Amino acid sequence: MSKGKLDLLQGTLDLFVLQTLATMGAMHGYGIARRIEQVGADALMLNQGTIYAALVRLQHGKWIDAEWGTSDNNRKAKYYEITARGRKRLIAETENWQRVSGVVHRILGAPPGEVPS
Amino acid sequence: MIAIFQRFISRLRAVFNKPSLDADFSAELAHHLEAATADNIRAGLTPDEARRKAHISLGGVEQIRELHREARGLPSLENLARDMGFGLRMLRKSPGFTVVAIATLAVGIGMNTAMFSMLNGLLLRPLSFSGVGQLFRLERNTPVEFRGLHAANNFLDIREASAEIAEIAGLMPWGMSLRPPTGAPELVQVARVTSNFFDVLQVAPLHGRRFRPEEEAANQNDVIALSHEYWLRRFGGREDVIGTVVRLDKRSVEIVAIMPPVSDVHRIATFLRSPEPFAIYVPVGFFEFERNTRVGGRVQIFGRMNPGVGFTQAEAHFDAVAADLARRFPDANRDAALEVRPLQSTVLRGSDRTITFLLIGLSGFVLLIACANLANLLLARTVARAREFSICAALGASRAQIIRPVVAECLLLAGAGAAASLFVAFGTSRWLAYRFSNDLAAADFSPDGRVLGFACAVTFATSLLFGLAPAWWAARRAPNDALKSDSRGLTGDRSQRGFRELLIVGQFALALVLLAGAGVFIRGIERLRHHNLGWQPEPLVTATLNLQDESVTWGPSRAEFHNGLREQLLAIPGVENAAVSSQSHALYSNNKSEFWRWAGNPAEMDADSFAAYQRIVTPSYLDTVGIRLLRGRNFNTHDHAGSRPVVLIGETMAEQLFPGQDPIGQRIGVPRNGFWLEIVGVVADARPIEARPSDIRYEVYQPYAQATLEVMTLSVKARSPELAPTLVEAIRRTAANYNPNLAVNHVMPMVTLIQEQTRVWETINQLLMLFAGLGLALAALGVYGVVSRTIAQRSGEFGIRMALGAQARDILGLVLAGNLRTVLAGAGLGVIGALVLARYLASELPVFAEGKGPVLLAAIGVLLLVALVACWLPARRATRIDPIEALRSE
Repeated sequence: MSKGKLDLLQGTLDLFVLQTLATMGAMHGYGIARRIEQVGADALMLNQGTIYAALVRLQHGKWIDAEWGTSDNNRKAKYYEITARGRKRLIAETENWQRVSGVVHRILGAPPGEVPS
Repeated sequence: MIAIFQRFISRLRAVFNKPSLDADFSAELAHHLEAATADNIRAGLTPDEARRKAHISLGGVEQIRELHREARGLPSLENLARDMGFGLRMLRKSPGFTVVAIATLAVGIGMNTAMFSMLNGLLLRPLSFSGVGQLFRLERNTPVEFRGLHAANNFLDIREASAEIAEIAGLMPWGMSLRPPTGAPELVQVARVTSNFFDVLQVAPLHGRRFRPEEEAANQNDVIALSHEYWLRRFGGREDVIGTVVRLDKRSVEIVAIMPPVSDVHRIATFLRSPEPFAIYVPVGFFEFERNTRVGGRVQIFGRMNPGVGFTQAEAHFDAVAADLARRFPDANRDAALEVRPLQSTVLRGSDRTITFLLIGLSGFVLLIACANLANLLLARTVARAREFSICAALGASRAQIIRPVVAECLLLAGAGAAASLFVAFGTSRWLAYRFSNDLAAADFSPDGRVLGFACAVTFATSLLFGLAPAWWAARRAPNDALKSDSRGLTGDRSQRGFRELLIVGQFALALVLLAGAGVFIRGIERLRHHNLGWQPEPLVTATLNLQDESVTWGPSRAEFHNGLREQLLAIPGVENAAVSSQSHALYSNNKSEFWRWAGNPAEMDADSFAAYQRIVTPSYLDTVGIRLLRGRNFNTHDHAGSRPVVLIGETMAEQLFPGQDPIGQRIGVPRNGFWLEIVGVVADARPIEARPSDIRYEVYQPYAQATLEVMTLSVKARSPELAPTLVEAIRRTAANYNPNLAVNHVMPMVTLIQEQTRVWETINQLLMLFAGLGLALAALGVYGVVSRTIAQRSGEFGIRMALGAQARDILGLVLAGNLRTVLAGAGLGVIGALVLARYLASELPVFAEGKGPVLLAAIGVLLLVALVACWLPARRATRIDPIEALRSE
């Protein structure tokens, strides 16, 4: 896979993680992975384990925070939470995606011979 | 920006936090699996199936860990550190290999660097004068001699005619006796220079002023300038010496300047009396006898071309000047050509240049042999591990992952070798500096960075190339093949074995060239030294005398002076004879003069002149120095200032000038000066140490009673060579006390003087022997290593043979035959190389042309012997193999 494509894939995965944490609150790694599968976006990951590399990346960039806590089954689990910075990134990238997809939509939908306005 | 930096810091921290982060992640993964399993059970699977499904969904644990690590740390850094650690461990596991490899590298690189630095310091270093490209030296070539010196009047005419083209200056090395305000007089090396000499070189005095043009006249030059080194040594480096008056020869002179340190003046001046640098500079002040002749001058001409003038223009100009001089003064200047040579090119002359490049080349050979050794070692080692690499590849390692540790190992090895070589380089430089420098110019032998860099680059390249190539190849091959092939230790496939053999051949070829080169050189030097000198230096003690007593030097009482001195010396117990001469036979004299044969008729003279070396001697000289009288008679008391001028001539001169005739009674002379010398005797040829046996030297001896100089050489013969050193002190005292105006210097046994003169040659000898020895040792080591390894790897094969009935003898024969073939091939190649080298040497230094054959044979003999031993030692082990053991192990 070319580097560009890989970046794109990673970036989208990051975005999804952030979105998940923003809407569903703090979760552990397994939970996030399951959520991705439920939504049908598991094309983004090779396997469930891929999520952990993304989580580390997001931690380094200070977009999410991690903390050990207790799960529902009374087990120790590491919970991730989105930060203010992460929220800002989420908003910005969401806007970006929407703008891009709008343009693409218009290009692809424009009748031939017409300059899209 | 800040974000990137922060991320980098986080990653860096992660590198150092490895264990805890790893544990952390393990816990996280464990939880993941538990949760997944629980979910699967809830979905209806059995516990085992649930667990299995959870694992599959998660993915390969190791790979996930890997990804996790890469994401959190600095993977490249960590990989590097890990590979380095791995490489280090591998090297430690085989200490023998590591030590040998590093030592090989250290020697190869270190010696090369030291050698080149020394040569750079001595000879190759560019002259430090500013605008050195415009500087030149004007040389005088006649059919009789090349690179001669100029007569005073010629010099003056040349200077006058060239004002538009260049600024011309002159220099004459001279010996004078200097007596500082306090202290004894001593003989010093003096540079008589024109007032613009330092202007031409663009060197300003450190303190004081330049010489003035009017001070060039003989009577107006009572000023001197001190050289920096002499100023420090004799005058304590005090600034207030300017204005001090000292005695120089018979005059009182004032010190008007102190020059900065310019050792390069010593490098461009030639025909120096002794290896010492110039102590003082005096204005040139041509003497009467120098002004009167255009023959036999001693002036060295240097010049700086005016801005905008090029060498072509200068050459054309001086050709015209030479033609003009020839026209106006045909006796002296007919056939005399003036040659313009860029100053830098005059520093390294003919045979010096050859020697220099010879040394550089030979030390390069040593480096090559070292590299070949390293290559062999690495190849063998990596080939042995090829199986290991194949297994790694089969297990899924990428080519990069296999290669990386090998790279690390090679780099570590090369790095350690380079570091060790620094020690070798410094140590060798130290030793060389100690051998080469006298108490004079401190030669700069600090290791040259360029050469060190180059040598390091070569070794790194070799190390990487021969370490990597097999690993690359092994990693590329389908793992199946490697695993299928002979597991009894890989000696590598045919091409690799062939390549290793090629390396051995190359090593031995180089070693042979080294041996032969060193042998030819050393033998040549020996021949120079011992080949029929014609005189005997061993029992002699020598000294320089400088007499500043005009009444004695130029008056009739000089015969009494010499006799009186001789009698006093004879009174010393152990002294057999003593004599005085203008120059010692030990020094390579350049005191050549032109003579003509008398055709018999005073009005006519022979058209052809010849050049001969002149020597002024006392009657006892022949006996003291050991020169045989062949015909006629020696000088005696009847030869004095008032009687007929007489000479002795050498036997070659007699044979060639008067073929078939009796030279006794014939005359030679310089017609324009109006005097003729009658030949009264013929003596055996006597050579200086450094002259080549094939040189044809005409020698002419004159009696002191009829010619004289202020600077003389004393030769005292001891009753036996062992006594000579013990008489030094007594001789010094006696001579010094004989006359208050007599300065006695450099009193030493003649053999010591000769040793000092030939010290350069001695050192080169030793260096060459060192190179040859090193090269040979390295090559032998290489062969030994390869043979041992081969035997160890073929022990299985040998076991089978012995089990089938082969004797120890047969195994030995097998091993030796195979390897000796290689060595012989190397020797064959080496012979060709050696012959080429010998031819090159001979073209520059004819003395080396003789005696090639025996030296070459001897070298081959030594090589074969060493190779035999190197093969035989490990082969012996082969014979002790227990067949059963060999077959069992692999």
